[in-house]
Amino acid sequence: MGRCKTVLKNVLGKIVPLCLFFFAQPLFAEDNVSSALSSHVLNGHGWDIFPYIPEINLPEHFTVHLLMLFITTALIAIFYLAFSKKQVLKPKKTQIALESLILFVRDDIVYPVMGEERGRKWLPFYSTLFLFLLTANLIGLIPAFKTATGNINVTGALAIMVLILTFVVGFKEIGVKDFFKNLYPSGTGLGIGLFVAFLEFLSIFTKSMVLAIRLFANMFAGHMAILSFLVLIIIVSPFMGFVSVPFAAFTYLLEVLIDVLQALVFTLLSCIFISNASEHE
Amino acid sequence: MDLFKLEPGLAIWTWITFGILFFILARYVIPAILKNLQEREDYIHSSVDKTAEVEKRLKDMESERDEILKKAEVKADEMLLRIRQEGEELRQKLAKQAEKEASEILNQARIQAEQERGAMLESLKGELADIICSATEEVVGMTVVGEKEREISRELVNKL
Amino acid sequence: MDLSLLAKAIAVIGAGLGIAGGGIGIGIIGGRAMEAISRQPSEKKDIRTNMILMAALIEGLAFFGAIVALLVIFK
Repeated sequence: MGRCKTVLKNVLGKIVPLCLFFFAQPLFAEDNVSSALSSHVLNGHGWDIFPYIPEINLPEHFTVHLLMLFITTALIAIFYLAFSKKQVLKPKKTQIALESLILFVRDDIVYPVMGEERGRKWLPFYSTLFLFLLTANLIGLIPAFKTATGNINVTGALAIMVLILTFVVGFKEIGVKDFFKNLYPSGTGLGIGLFVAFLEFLSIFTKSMVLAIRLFANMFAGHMAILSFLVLIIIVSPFMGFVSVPFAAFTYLLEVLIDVLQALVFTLLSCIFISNASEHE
Repeated sequence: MDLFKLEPGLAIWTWITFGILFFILARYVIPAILKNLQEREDYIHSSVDKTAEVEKRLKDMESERDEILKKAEVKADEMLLRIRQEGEELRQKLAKQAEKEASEILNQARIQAEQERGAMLESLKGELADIICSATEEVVGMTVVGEKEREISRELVNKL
Repeated sequence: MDLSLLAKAIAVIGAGLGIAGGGIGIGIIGGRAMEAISRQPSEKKDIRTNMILMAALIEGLAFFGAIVALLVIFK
């Protein structure tokens, strides 16, 4: 047992980091692999659909992530418009799938947080947010498509929207005075209270920023993880494929889970932020 | 690799696409879906109610059926009893009749036998008288036997 | 030794530390959530939602570290 432990410690503590370091070194040194990685994850004008097929050059001021945003919107709009027109009483697979997403948002996100009465008014917004994020996240896992949510501008825009809504809804529903009164903790001295209120005020911005960063980093890092495993094949040797392809496949499957989870988390957190800011304490 | 490259255009387009999607979903899709869900919920509720009603009716019918069955059983029992009684009666009657007939036939047969025996005896006696007459003729050697003698011999035989 | 390479190496270590902190936090949350679920299985759904929420909050911090490291590495 003790012997086994030492071997494990040596392998995990020395050999694996050493290997990883040597394997990772060419990744940093070689400009080629690095740019290959970045072209898969970052925004750009060229859309490479498949290896050996020359990449499509998009027109100026039109980028791949923008294209993905349009595709996302079009997909959701087409699916939901087509199926909301011909709904039936006894639904089939597609209708159940499309409905259950909205039902999920309603029953697991909006109603528990906001309550039924306010939730009914807000349901379209949050279901739009959820569907938008979910589709944008999942579309990146399909080959030839990219994740638009892996771009800080997209997630930042959504987070800024949530931030603005927090203020607007808070001011509208409970008034400017009560909104700031909520930030002030009761039962403390004036100096400490003002300081805490200032921190609370800042935390509204931080929360939104973290909202953006979290989604962006999750999407970006997930795709980078898959690609890094695959890039090892180029860097090390073709035989590395036996190791890295199963790992990449595993990461890919994990990414499916994370995509759904992050869409849920973003929606849930924005729901909590907005509804917290607009409630009397 | 510029991770944090600012692209204001992309951000603005995000808002625009999100706005369009929100408009479409809020205006056309979600009310329709919620309405359909409500309808389906009502339908399911009404179906459940209907099922309960049908079940109740079924139970009623079952009890009714049981009642009818019980009644029918009682009736059948009665009928069986009556039929058995009737059968018994009929059987007895038939047996009696048959007995009567049989005794009648027996009587008749006895009477007939008696009669036949009497007739046979009569003819036997006649024969015997004739034999006696002819025997007497043989013994006497002449035909003296007229009608008178025959009568006498017959009476004689009868007296035997 | 190339100084930028050293900076990159330190950044990687920093990212690793940050993620380790996040991992500890998520581990504690997960463990406590499991305890809570085993104590009160009827509240499973609420506990799980809150667990995911808290884990996501911590994960955001861990990603902060990772992103800073990535910024250093890729400049």
